[in-house]
Amino acid sequence: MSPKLSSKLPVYIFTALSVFFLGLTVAAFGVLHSYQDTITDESYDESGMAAVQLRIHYEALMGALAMVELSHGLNGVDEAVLQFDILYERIKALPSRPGYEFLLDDETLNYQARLLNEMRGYLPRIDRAADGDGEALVAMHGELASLRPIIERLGHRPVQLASEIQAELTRDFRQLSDLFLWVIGGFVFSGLLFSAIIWRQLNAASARQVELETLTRNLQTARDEAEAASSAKTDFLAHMSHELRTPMNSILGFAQLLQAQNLDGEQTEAVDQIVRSGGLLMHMIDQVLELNKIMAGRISVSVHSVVPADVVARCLSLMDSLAADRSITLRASPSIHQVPDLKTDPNRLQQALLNLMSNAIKYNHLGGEVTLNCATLPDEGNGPWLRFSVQDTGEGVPEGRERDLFKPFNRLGRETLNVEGTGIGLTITQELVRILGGRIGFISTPGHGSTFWIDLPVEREESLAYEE
Amino acid sequence: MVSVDSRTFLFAFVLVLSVLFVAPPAVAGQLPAPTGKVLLTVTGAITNTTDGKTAEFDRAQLQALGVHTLRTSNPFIQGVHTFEGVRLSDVLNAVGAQGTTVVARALDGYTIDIPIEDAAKYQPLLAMKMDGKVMRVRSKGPIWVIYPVDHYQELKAENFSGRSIWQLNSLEVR
Repeated sequence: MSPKLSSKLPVYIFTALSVFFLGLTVAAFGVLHSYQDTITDESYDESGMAAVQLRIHYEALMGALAMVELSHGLNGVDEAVLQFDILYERIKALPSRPGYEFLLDDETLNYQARLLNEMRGYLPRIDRAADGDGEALVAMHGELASLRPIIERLGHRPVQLASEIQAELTRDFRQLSDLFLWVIGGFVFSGLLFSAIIWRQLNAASARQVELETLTRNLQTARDEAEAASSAKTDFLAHMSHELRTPMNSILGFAQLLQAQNLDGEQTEAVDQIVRSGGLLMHMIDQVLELNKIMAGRISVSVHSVVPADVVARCLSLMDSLAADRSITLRASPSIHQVPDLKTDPNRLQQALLNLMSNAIKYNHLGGEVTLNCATLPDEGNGPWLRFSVQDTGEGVPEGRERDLFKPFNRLGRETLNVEGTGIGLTITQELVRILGGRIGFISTPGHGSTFWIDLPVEREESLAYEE
Repeated sequence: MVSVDSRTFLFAFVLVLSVLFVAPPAVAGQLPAPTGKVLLTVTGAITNTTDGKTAEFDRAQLQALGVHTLRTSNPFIQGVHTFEGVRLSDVLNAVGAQGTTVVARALDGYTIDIPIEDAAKYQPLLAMKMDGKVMRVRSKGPIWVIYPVDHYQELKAENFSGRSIWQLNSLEVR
């Protein structure tokens, strides 16, 4: 099952169930509607029953009287008396019968009173017949025939009234069921509308999701392409730099061989120039190669317990000759002996410090000073940190250019000065510090020099280990 | 075959004996045949009969069961009247009624079921006289079942009105 279908499954079920149950209800009402005629007919029969029975007993009475007449008062007398009494009682009691109170209007009651009055006149003769005088009933058949229209009207009227009441009830029932149908129709309609709205919303949502997925895929592709391009560039640079080294080595080698020859003053100067420029180019190639290695994540970090004073001392001795060339005094602050040992990669730390020192020497006044310091930082809640700093007495970082300082190949306008440099020293340093889990920064006072610092944690956590 | 027949005879003989001696003597009773005009015929699950199937009563036989009077109102006529007649329970006892329902039928064909427990609970009267006068067919006679409507509130309900059958002439015990 696709995720799109499963997210719509409740709607499918909801819609199906609503339609099913509402359909069922409509069907039930339809059946009820068609059955109401049957119901009506049954009620009609019951209401007509008592009135119909009046005629049954009247006909029975007339039958018995006919027999009395034919037999000249010998047969059928008892039956005639019984039927007369039954009929009489029935007519008399009609208004008190349950259910007949509302079936008898004034017209019917009038018939009933007339009929009862007429029959009361025959009672003395019925009594005589009951006492054995059958002759009393002989002529009664013909006389009672005149009652037939009244009996029929009295029988007919309640039936008519009953059917009118029934019709009214039927009309009410029909109106009620019509109303129900409308209400249910409304429910069905609103239910379908509701489902349709939800359906549309879900469709729109899934369309949006598809759009988002496409967008994400495109972004991923773009990112992968960009990464591949960047990687290709890095590889290209690494290879190029490597390939540049070989001819450079031979240029430098042969130039140094030439230096050993007996050359005149002009030639010596030219060869020295070749060696100096070649050395600079070689340095640049080395630095580019180093940066690429770092960028490509191809350098390893080896963590040891390091005594800060030792590192500082090594850096001072390594920079000794370069500083001497520019008559710059290198110094170490006495506080370097008061800091604890730290866990870091000593070679990378030294490399970073040498880069900073190299800059401090190169961009210093002739005869200036460079001071190395190391101090404990106040604990900020993440363990003790040390700050290594390199302070110079140069011109300082030009105002407004601080942000460009750590960008590669940016020499902040010093290109015009007679200072050798590639412009990627600080970039490499920054990367090294990042790998060591530290921070880099500087404080500068234009015209009075600047202080570059590197903060490192004393306890380097393994989780901070540089991995790429 | 002979042995089977004799066994069947023996079984039948023992059965007849057991019925004769174990069953109470009142069960299979003979009621005297009516001499006057029959007012009420009782049929169905009864043990005492006049002709082996039905029990017929004339006016004198009914009165012999014990005449009681009941003064009550009635949903079908106005006012309070004095009714005189025999109790339904006495009639049912006389015929040895065994069922749960009495189907009452009237001369005009009206039929109604009366639960047999009504007889003991309300003691309805099979009234033959109203206000001292014999009720004729033309005035709801010969028998009108009268419930003591004024003595029990529930008897004013319509289903009891329906049981107050007039022109009664037969009962069938089921």
